[in-house]
Amino acid sequence: MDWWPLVWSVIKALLIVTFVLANAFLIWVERKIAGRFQRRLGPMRVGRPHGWAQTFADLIKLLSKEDVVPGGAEKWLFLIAPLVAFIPALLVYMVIPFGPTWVVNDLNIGVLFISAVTSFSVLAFFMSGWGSNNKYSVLGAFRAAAQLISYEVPLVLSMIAVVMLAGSMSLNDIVKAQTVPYVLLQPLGFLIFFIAAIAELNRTPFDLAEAESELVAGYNTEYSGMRWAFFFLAEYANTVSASAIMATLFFGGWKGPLLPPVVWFLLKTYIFVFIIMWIRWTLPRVRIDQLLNLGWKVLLPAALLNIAWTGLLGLVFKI
Amino acid sequence: MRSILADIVRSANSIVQGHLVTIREFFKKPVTLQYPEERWPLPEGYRGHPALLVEPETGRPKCTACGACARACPNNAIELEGMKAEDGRRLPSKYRLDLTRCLVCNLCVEACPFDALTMSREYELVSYDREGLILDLPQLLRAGAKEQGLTYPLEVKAGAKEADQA
Repeated sequence: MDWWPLVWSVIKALLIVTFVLANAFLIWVERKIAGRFQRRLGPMRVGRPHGWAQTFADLIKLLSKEDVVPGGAEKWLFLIAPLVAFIPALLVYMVIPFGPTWVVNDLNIGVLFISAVTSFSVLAFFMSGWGSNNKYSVLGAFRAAAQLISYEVPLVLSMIAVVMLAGSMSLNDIVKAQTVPYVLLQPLGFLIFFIAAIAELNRTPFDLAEAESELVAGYNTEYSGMRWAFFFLAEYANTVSASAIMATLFFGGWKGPLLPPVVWFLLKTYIFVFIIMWIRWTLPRVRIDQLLNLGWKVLLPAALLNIAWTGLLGLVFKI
Repeated sequence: MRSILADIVRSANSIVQGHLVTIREFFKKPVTLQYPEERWPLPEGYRGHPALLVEPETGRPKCTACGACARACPNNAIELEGMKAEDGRRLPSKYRLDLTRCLVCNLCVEACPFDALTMSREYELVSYDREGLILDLPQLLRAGAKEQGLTYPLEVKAGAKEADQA
């Protein structure tokens, strides 16, 4: 029996897990960036220079915390919800091309895979909210469900337009098909994808599911220690993967002059991560009715319009 | 239709404006002062608790334990006892300033006939218990010497030694 494919896939899996865990440093980065936006310094005390070891300090704190299960909680739902949140966040990286050959598994239905796997996060939010036996948690979960289902639709529709242009669902083929970045052909599609992606990520201004000013912490109110850390890590992993998908679908992924492909890819990805953080520290949270109105009354028609526009592009210019 | 478009343009513009504000702040220098390492310069007229000045030549307190400060104090924060040094000069043997009562009013300094008191510029007065907020003679002399640009105790002279022991 040939063991090489198995060994190779284990190595790939470990690399991806390492990459995702390495993104925990974004917790520190975000705090620094948040500080700068408010003309503060951010964490400075743990590790020199500039408190770089803050994430490790946070991790040690979280690891040493007690694993509390609230009374009356649905124990199983409560305990496995963080993993259900984290594993899909990890799975998305499977189809993202970091370079021409740097992809774990270039599925020919990559786009479909992404939309399928990311929908899992609703399940995790609902499991944690329902399992916690806490009214704030369940309210957060209701909101998360309403929000994620509403924004899934325009998100997928804007991805369909990209698939129409590229003629393939494989992300690597989509990158190769981009002689010009698709953002130039699909400015509206990109905007829809960007807004819907932020909503899918549950980040400000669409962080209604954990709206701390009204719901304590929403679905993760009752979580502490490592289980909470998994939600947190999943959020950052999702932020990076959403940025990576934006870079891949609309900005030519690993394509770029001079620098090696992986550098281009990471550069584009982290620029989007920065923009998402920038938005978080600028805009206030929207109301739930505004959120749903925006999703169904603005983004959905706009996404359909974008598909029509894409069809027209294909018909007239034979792109 | 027109109003909807106008709405969209207006709100998009406001979002862009907001982001320009935050990104401008992003590139400015943070205003945070890293407190224990960095400090603001104190204002010229800053007034901390009263402190006892020392005679630079002898290193002894200028105070003669006349008690004018204790009488002037509206809160009875000052308590002192005197003694006679070998050369016949009166010195304080005990001087207690109770910071829990002191209101930093400067009346003791004004009352002092020998200009032996001054208001210090100390502001880090935290303590784990109330005892720590009652300053004794060496502490007050140290604070006073600091105001004079000296470090207490100075070259140990007889009177200062006695005061220190008290």
